[in-house]
This record gives sequence, structure tokens and C-alpha cells, in this order.
Amino acid sequence: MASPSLDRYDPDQAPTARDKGFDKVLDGIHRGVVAVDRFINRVIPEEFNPFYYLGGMTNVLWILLVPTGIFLWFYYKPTTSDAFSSVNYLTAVVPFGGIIRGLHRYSGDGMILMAILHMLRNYFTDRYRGFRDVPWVSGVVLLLLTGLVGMTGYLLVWDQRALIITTAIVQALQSLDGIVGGLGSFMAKALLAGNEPNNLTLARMFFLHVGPAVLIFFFLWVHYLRLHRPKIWPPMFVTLLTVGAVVLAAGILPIEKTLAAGVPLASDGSSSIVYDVFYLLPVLALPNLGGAGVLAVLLLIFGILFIVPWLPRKKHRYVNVAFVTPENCTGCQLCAIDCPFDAIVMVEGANPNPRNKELAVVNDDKCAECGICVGACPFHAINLPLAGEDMIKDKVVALLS
Amino acid sequence: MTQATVSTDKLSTENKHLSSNGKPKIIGFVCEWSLGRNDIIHEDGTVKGYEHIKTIKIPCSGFVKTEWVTVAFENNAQGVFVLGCPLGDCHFNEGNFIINERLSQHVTRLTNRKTIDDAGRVAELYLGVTADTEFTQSLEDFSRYIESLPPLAAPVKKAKGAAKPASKAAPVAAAGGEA
Ligand code: HEM
Ligand code: SF4
Ligand code: SF4
Repeated sequence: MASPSLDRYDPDQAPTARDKGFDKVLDGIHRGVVAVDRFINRVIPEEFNPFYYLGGMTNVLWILLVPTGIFLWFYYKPTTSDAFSSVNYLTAVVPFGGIIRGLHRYSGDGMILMAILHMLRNYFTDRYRGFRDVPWVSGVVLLLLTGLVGMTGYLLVWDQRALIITTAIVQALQSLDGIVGGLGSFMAKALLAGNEPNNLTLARMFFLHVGPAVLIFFFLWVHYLRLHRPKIWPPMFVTLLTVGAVVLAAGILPIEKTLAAGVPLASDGSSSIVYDVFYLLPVLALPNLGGAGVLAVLLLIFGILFIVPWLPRKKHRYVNVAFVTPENCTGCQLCAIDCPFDAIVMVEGANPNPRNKELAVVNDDKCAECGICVGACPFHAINLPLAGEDMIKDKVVALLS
Repeated sequence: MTQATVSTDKLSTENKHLSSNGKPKIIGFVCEWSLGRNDIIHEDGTVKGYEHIKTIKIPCSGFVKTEWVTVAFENNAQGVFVLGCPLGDCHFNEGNFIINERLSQHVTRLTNRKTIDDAGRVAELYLGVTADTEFTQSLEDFSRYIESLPPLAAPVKKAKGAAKPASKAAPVAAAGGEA
């Protein structure tokens, strides 16, 4: 093999060589996304472009959901007989109850909207494969959990809508019986805590609302695991924009009034019932697709999302991961501090020079091949194999001669 | 260990700072996620239409060692720029913020040491992959600014070395998104 050189690095090995097939289509979309950014950057300073902080905005909305949810929980009674009246009580009587319910509702809507935008942006700007497989796959789990939490949230109110949704879900599950034995009926029974909605049903729903919400915290931890300093909090301007939008929505769009589950539906059908397009889309699709159809579509979508980081995979992976020259490393930690992907561990006692406590060691799986550590090291101890610092220096000299 | 030693041939130092098109030599480090993959740069790194501006493609603006900036000035470069993606949109999340920090420190060091006379000789550009026109516009401005400065004294350690430290405001430095 020829010795590594900049020329070998440049043309084909470069991570951005996306000039063939599907990659070329993605590259076109990437350029489109960046063009939109450029437009926004004309209006507001680029450091505050909300599109750069979609993940952080999702996180802000999630954090908004927790205290508002706890507030609602103070008043909520998870029984079919009392749930509806307890929700009505907290909305109409409890000071700020209506507003807080609105905040909970609209930050929930905002969260899934932002999560989807965040996902699309990461996909279209090629931030999803290679070393980003862990954030991507955990992100898909987060999306699934968010959807589940949102949908069960609508059941907790136990109004006409909740009953319709519950009936639809039960029917969808039961329609699976033909495909997977009695599993569908079993799941429906588990969901309702019986054959019919009864006083224990809402305890199940409540568990399905709060349980996955707790799991979200766990998967967020996984989501941020590979990032050294994830942009969890956007700049103040963007945070205020996010919170402000939700407060505004809660102020001008009070939560719609519904009727208790026990009230029979008006004869003109479900036309007066409002469905949330973000969380109840699968339910809305039920009449057309049928239970098995909706489940199949969801399975297909999430199945594809889960394997997206490997379609097409990053071909140049591991070609250019940083390597340390132990003799030069002083253990100063500068590279480990600057690495955005937490890919450098400082190993105690490994340094060939006994006077230096630690040695920088690169974790190949986490390394993004960005070279930020190269710029950080004052001691010529860390380099990218295909773009070594001496190669660059030579090139600087050559270009200037 | 730097191979970047400069020939001390006095006669040829006269025009060493000029490129073949008679304009001051400028070198740029270009992030391949930013404009690095557009065809406004020739294979050999020369920017189309700017014979005197050479570029080196790099994986991320945060990859740039400030040492290379010094090496460039020691080898008769009259201006150095780093091109990264818009701040906040680094493909590697933090590269452009990091180089922004490192360069602001390094430029102070360079001016204090009198390696360069004017902080404006180092420019940072933060542009997205579609910003061709902004890129050429910024280069045009940068080039014109460098032309307005007296040639950098040859980096040979001599009394004449200290060119006047005109501390003009640097118009092109950090000329991201605008323009
Ligand atoms: C549902 C709640 C979610 C929250 C709160 C969330 C939050 C975040 C945050 C704060 C970051 C780091 C900052 C950033 O780069 O924007 C991040 C990164 C990331 N997220 Fe999410 N995310 C969520 C869902 C998703 C989903 C659905 C996907 C895709 C399927 C996804 C994929 C990613 C990826 C690939 C990264 C790494 C980006 C990088 O390395 O620059 N996330 N997320
Ligand atoms: S910056 Fe260089 S010397 Fe310091 S720990 Fe990292 S590799 Fe070692
Ligand atoms: S190249 Fe260096 S800074 Fe970049 S991810 Fe790898 S170890 Fe971290």
C-alpha cells in the first residue's frame, strides 16, 4: 500500500464524497436545507438560528412537560368514574389550571413536531450514520416513546374521544387475532384490565402514560452518551422563543371542551370531536387502513427508521480515526477536553514516559475523524493518519513557494 | 522539526510575498463540509479567478493547528483565512466555535510577536455549502484589504522586521453569514 498522503485523503476518501446514486440525491437535499438556513441567517444572527437547535428545543419542551404534568397529577383521579370530572375541575376551578393544562398539551405537540424536524434535519445533513448510530437509534426509540406517551395522554381525560380511541385500539388489537393467535385479544384485555373499560382501566392508561415518560429520561441519557457537550439547552433567545410559543398557544387556544365518555355521541357522528394530528394520526387512519393495516404501517416506518444509519452506510468509517504517538503525549488532556464526541479517554499509568501520569487513547468507535483533537494538541502527539500535521505543513509551504 | 525554514536569499525576498499574478499570497484552510466540495476551487487548491489564493481542504475547521497559520506567515503568506460552516451548524458540532476561540488567542500572539502587523491578516469565514457568492465576495474584500497593507516584512530576524503595527479594525475577520 502506498504511504498515506493528503492526496489519498482528498478526493474519494473524504466523508463528503457523495456523488453517486442515492447519496447524490441526499446531497441535493442537504444543499436545500443549508440554503434555507442561509435565508434565516440573513434575518437573525447565525448563532441564534433555531434550526441549529432543534434537538435542544425538543429537550426544552420535554422539560416543560414534566412540571406541568406533575401539576396535573396532583388533581387527576385515574378512575373511569372520576377522571373526567377531575380534569374539568382542574381546568375550570383550580387557579391557572387551564393554562397549565394548555402548556402541557401544546408542549407535547411541540415536542413531537420538533423531534420529527430534528430527525429530518439530522438525516438530511448527514448527521445520522457512522459514529452517530447510537444517537440515531436511541432517537427513534425516543420518538416511539413520545408518540406512546402523547396518545395515552388523550385517553386519561376519559371523554368521548378517549372512549372512541380506546375502542379503536381494542378493535385493532383484536383484529390481530387472525394473524397471531389469541395474542391480540390478550393485549386488549391487558390494556383494559378486563373485557370492557372498567374502573381499573385508567390505572393501566396512567401507567402507560407515565412509564414510557420515565423511560424517555433513560433513553435521553443514551441519546447524549456519545456527545461530549450536547446542545441540550439552546441559546437563551431560542429557549425563550420555544417557551414563548407554547405560552402563547396556551393563552390563545384554550383546550377544547369535550363531553364525558358516558354521554352518548350525537347522532351526526364524530364530526364535533377534535383529533390531535400529531399523536392521533394512527387512530384517524384506522377507518381506512384497519387495525392490522395501521400497525403494519407503523411497524414498517419504525423498522426502516431503526436501520437507516446503515442505508447506505458510511464507507470511509475507520479510515481516518485519530491516533496518538505515545512518546509525544504529555497527558495534558487538551485533546480529550476538546473532542466533541468524547472519543478520547485519558488512561492512567499507560504513558511510556513515567513522568507523565496519563496517556490519551482514542476510542475508534466513537471517533468522528474530525481532527479537532489535532488542532488541540500542542505536542504533536495526535494526528489523523491521512492528513498528518506534517503533510499539511508541507502543503502550506509548497503552495506558498 | 519544522521543515518550513525560509531561504535568506535577500535579493529574492523582494517579491516573495507576491503570487504570479502580482497579488499578495493568501492561503486558506477550507472545511470540506462547508464550501470544500463546490467547484469554485480548482483541483490544486487555487480559488477560481483568484490565482493568488490557495486553499487546503480539511475535514473540519477545528482541525486547523494555529501553528500552521504561523508557518504560512513565515513562508511569505500575506493573509490566512479559515473557512468553516456557520456557527452553530458545524458538522462536528463544535469545530467552528473551537477554531474561533483558538484563532482569537493566536492572532493576539502573532501581533504581539510582530509576526504580523495587522490582526486583519487572519480572517475567519463561516459559510454554508451553498454560499458561493458570499465566499467570493468575502475573498474579494479580504484580498483587497491585504493589498492595502504594506508587504509583511520577511520573517528573517532583523531590525527591519517590525513593520508598523497599524491596528486597523479588521473588516473581514469573522465575516460569517452577513454580506
Ligand atoms: C424525542 C426527543 C428527542 C430529544 C429531546 C432529542 C434531543 C437531542 C439533543 C439535545 C441532541 C444534541 C444536540 C443536537 O445535535 O441537536 C440530539 C442529538 C441527536 N439526535 Fe436527538 N432528540 C430527540 C429525538 C431524536 C430522534 C427522533 C432522532 C432520530 C431518529 C434523533 C437523532 C439524533 C442524532 C442522530 C443526534 C446526534 C447529532 C450530532 O451528533 O450532532 N433524536 N438530540
Ligand atoms: S493534547 Fe496531545 S499531549 Fe495532550 S493528552 Fe492529548 S495527545 Fe497527549
Ligand atoms: S478526530 Fe479527534 S476530536 Fe474528532 S472525534 Fe476523533 S478523537 Fe475526537
